[in-house]
Amino acid sequence: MIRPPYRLALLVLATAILAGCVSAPKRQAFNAEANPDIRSIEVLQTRDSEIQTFIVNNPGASFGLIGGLIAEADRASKTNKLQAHLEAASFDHERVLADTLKAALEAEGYEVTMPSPLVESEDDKAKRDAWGLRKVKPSGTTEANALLDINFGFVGYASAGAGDSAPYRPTVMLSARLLDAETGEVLFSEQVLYNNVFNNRDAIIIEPDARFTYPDFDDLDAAGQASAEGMRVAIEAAVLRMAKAL
Amino acid sequence: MRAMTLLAACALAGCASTGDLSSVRYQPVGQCVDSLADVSAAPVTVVPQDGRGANRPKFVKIHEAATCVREGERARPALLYTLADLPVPTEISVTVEAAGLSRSAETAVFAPSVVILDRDRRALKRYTLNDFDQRGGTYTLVAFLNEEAAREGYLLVEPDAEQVGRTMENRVGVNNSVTVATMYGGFTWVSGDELQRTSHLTDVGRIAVSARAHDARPFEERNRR
Repeated sequence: MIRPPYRLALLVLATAILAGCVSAPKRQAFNAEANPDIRSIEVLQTRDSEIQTFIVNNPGASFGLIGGLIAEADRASKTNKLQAHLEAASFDHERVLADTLKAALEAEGYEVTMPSPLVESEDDKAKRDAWGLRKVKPSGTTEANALLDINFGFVGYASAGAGDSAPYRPTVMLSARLLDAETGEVLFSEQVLYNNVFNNRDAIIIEPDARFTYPDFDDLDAAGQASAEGMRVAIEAAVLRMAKAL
Repeated sequence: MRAMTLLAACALAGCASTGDLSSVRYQPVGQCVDSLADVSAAPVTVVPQDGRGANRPKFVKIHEAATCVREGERARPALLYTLADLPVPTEISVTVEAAGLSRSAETAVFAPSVVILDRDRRALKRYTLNDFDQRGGTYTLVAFLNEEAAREGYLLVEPDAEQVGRTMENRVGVNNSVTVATMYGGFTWVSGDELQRTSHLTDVGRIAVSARAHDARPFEERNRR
C-alpha cells in the first residue's frame, strides 16, 4: 500500500514523464533490411500495470499539497469505478496486449515466443527506467534472435482538463525496445501514444477513435462495461503501430 | 489576437504572407534554376550518437535554404543533400515542424516529398507525409542507407504537390494554466482543454535533415551518459 504523499509524488512524476518533460529513451528505428537474420523474437515479461483514470491539467494542483491530495482521492475513486466496470466485462488489458502483439509480429513474419506468465512477479522484478524498460539485458539463454521489452507507460481513460472541453478518452502509452539476443545491440526503441492528451512531443501519436468520447466521468461511468471496447480498440491500435515498425 | 497568431505562424513557417494559414505558399527568393540538375547539393548534418545535439534536429527555413526550381509557370523550392560521404548503413532522419503550434487551433505543415536519388539523380525511392510519424508538433521520417548506390547519391526534399492545400485534423491536450499575483503572493491556476487542431499542408515551413551512423553498442553501454 502506497501512502498518499508518496502517491501524489508518483502522480507528479508520472505526469512529467507522460508529457515528455523527462527525457525519453533514445529513439531507434528498426533497419529491417540490414537485419535479415532477425526472424524470431522472445517477448520479455512486462511490469505490472493497472487501468487508470487521469485528468492531466487537474485544477486540484492549484491548491498545493491539500488540493493535490483531494485530486488524488478523486482520481482513485474514479479509477476504482472504471476498474469495476472492466472487471465485470472480463476485460484484461495485459491479455489484449499479449494476444495483439503475438498476432501482429507473426503477421510481420516473426516466430514469436511469449512469456508465461506475461507479467513479472512481485518478488522477481527487473530493474527498469522511468518508462518501464529494463536497465539490464536479461541473463540466460534464448533460442530467439531478439528480445522485445514492451510495457505500458499509461493505460486507461484520460482527459486534458476538468472542464467540458476536455472529454475522457481511452489513452495508451506504450514503450518498446528490441535487443539483439546475442550482442545486446539496440535494434529498435520507440514509444507510441494513443490520444495525445499529455501534449507529448516525442512519441508516435495515434489519433483517438471518436466513438469513445465521454464528456465527463459520469458519462464514462454510465457507459459501464461498454468502456472496455474503447480500451480494447486503443490498446490494439498502439500495439499494431509498434509491431508495424518492426 | 488571431492576427498575431497568424503572423507568428507565418514567421515560423518562413513565409512573407500574413494571410490565412490555408493560403500560405512559397514565394521564390532570388534566381530560379530551370532543372533539378542545376541544384547544388549540400552535405547532410551528421549528429553525434550521444550528448548534446544527438536528439536535437537543426531546422532550416525552406524558403531561405532551398533553391527555386522553375518548370514552366510553376516555381517550387528544392533542397538537395549529397549522401556521398556517409558510411553504410546510415540512418537519415527528416523532421518537419508544424508552425503556429502555441495553443492555436490552426497550424501550417510543410507537405514533404523526400526522394532518394542515385548518383545520376534518378529516383530510387520516394516518401510522402503518409510515411512520416506524427510526434506532437513534428512529423518524422527515418530512412536507412544500406546500399552503395544510395550512398553515392542524393536526398531531395521538395513539396508534395498532391498534398499541398489539403488539411489534417488532430486532437491534443493543452495546458491553459495562468499565474495569478495577489498582495499575499502568487499562485498558479491549473487548467487544460482538448484542442482540435487543423493543419494546413503547404509548400513552405521548417525542416531538418540529419544523419546518424549505425550504433552497434550493447544497450547498457549506449544508455550510459
